Amino acid sequence: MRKYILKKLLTTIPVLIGITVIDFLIMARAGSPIDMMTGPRMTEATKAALATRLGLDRPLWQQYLSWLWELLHGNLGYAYKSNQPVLDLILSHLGPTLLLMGLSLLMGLVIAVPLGVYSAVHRYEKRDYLLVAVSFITSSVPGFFLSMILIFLFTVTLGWLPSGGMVTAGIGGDLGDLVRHMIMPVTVLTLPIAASNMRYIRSSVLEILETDYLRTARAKGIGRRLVIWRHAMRNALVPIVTVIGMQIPGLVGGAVIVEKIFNWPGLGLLTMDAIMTRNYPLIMGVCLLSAVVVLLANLLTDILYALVDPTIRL
Amino acid sequence: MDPILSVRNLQVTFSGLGNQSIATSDISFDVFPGEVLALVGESGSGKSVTALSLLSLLTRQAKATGTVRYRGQDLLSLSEKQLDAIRGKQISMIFQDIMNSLNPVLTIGKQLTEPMICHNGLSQAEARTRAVSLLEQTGIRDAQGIMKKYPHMLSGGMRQRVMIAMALSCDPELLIADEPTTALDVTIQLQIMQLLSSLQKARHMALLLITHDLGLVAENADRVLVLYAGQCVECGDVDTILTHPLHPYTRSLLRAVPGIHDARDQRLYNIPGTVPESYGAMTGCRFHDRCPYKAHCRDYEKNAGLLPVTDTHLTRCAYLLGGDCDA
Repeated sequence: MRKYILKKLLTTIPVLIGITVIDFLIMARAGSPIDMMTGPRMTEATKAALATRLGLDRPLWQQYLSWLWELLHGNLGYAYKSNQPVLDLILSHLGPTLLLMGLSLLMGLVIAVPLGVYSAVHRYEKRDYLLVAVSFITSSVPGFFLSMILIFLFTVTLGWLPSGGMVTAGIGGDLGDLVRHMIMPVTVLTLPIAASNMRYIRSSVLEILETDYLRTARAKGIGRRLVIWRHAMRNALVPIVTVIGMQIPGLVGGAVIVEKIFNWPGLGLLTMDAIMTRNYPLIMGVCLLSAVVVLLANLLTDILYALVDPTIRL
Repeated sequence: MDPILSVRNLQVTFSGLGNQSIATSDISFDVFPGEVLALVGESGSGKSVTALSLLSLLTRQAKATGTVRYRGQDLLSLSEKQLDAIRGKQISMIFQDIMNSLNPVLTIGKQLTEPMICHNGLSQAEARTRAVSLLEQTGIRDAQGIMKKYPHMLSGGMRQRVMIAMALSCDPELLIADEPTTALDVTIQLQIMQLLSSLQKARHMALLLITHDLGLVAENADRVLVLYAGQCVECGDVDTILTHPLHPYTRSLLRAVPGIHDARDQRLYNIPGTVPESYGAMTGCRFHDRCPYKAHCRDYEKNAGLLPVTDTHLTRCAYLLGGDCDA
């Protein structure tokens, strides 16, 4: 196991370098940051000076190598304009995103697991069809649309919940205030996670219910609860772990649209702004972070496999 | 002596999308305390379906009608909860496909102690001690070590021993063994069958042995029930069935067993044709098409039912019972 993890971590290094090269090329093709910083009255000479100061006049490969060199020294660079260190910016936005997305994923699973199992146990009955139908409808409603409806209902009409932000300026800061700010974005993010995971869990459990070893478990007369939660669930978890593993990177990427609508100070909002202003160092920092998270999530998925299924040995 | 299990007119129907197919019809038999009753028949004759329906372990598409009487209760009319009180405690079962019959993600110890904890209220520690001794009784040497292992680490023979230990853990009155040796190679088959037989005798437990292996029947069974196309065609005690069968299907089955003294160039007898595919709607004799007495028999369209030959011997063939043949 330890050897496997070490090997896997070492192989991530070339993968990471490859990803950053591709990111860098795509970013550079999208246009120069200088265009975003200049006004109509700025002279060509000033522009050139700005480019020189930011190192944008050098050939692309030199720019990339110097970025990589700084990275190896623990420096992700400084954001344009604000001149804040990229690392600080990312770290300050990571917390709110992890809070928002982590809670949504957790809530999604808390809803999905019992409903999925219930649906599978009562397969092809009316309540199963009802749950599946509700799940399809829920995952078909676009997040931005649901957000608008919720804001209209709870902020505009009823005035119960704040329409955006993380804390109320001036008076905010306590837990209750945070919770009130989180209700709507968490709801919008939780529903599709719960709906799609419910169907994964349902089909996974359905498959297990037909196996010979589940028949053995039933023949032992240990009761339905143990048959389902001990014998079926452990096996059903194996494919579910894959799906959840794929959802983890989304946690960090943040939900750009939902963060934008609810003005949530997270990574999604930061990424969006970075791209809109062609803030090269910031874009690279965010890209690197998501690459690292994807690779770590894959590793975590592999480790979870081995924990859930004893026939898999790492 | 009263039977412990009494099956009457058992019929199992599978319903798919719009169509229904009858897997067994009109199966009746009794199992007496401490006896070994063999259910014999070729593939597709309804042996496993019969066995699984006794404890309502069939898939949801299957529906069993008739009665399965155990200690005054009709098992077919019980709820899952009521059945769970009987499953694994009074009636247990071991299965044919041993490779997939144990849960791959739980240790042997966990799976083995479960029924004792649930049915007999044993503590973890008590159940473990008893599980180790059960494993030792089934001839497993490193019982302590096996407890911590997962099914994929064990051989087929070992897994079947574990299954047997598990099935016997709550001292059942009746063990249903659905082709317990089919998936094993010959030497292990012998060991497992000897083990089952000795445990059965020592515990004075009834055994319902489902098999297509007539050798197993001859060596282990007290009585035999021959199934063909979802019907019981003949039943009686083992000596009668093996030496004086009165149904052409039983006779053909026995003829198809290779003998050790057969001449090397002798062709093995086989029954022409196959089990009819949908026999649910058939009336009259279901074996008629393949029957060696086909040419002489005139009454095959009549549904004779089981006819008594002696007190203990029943056959469905009126033609051979009539005795107007030279066989």
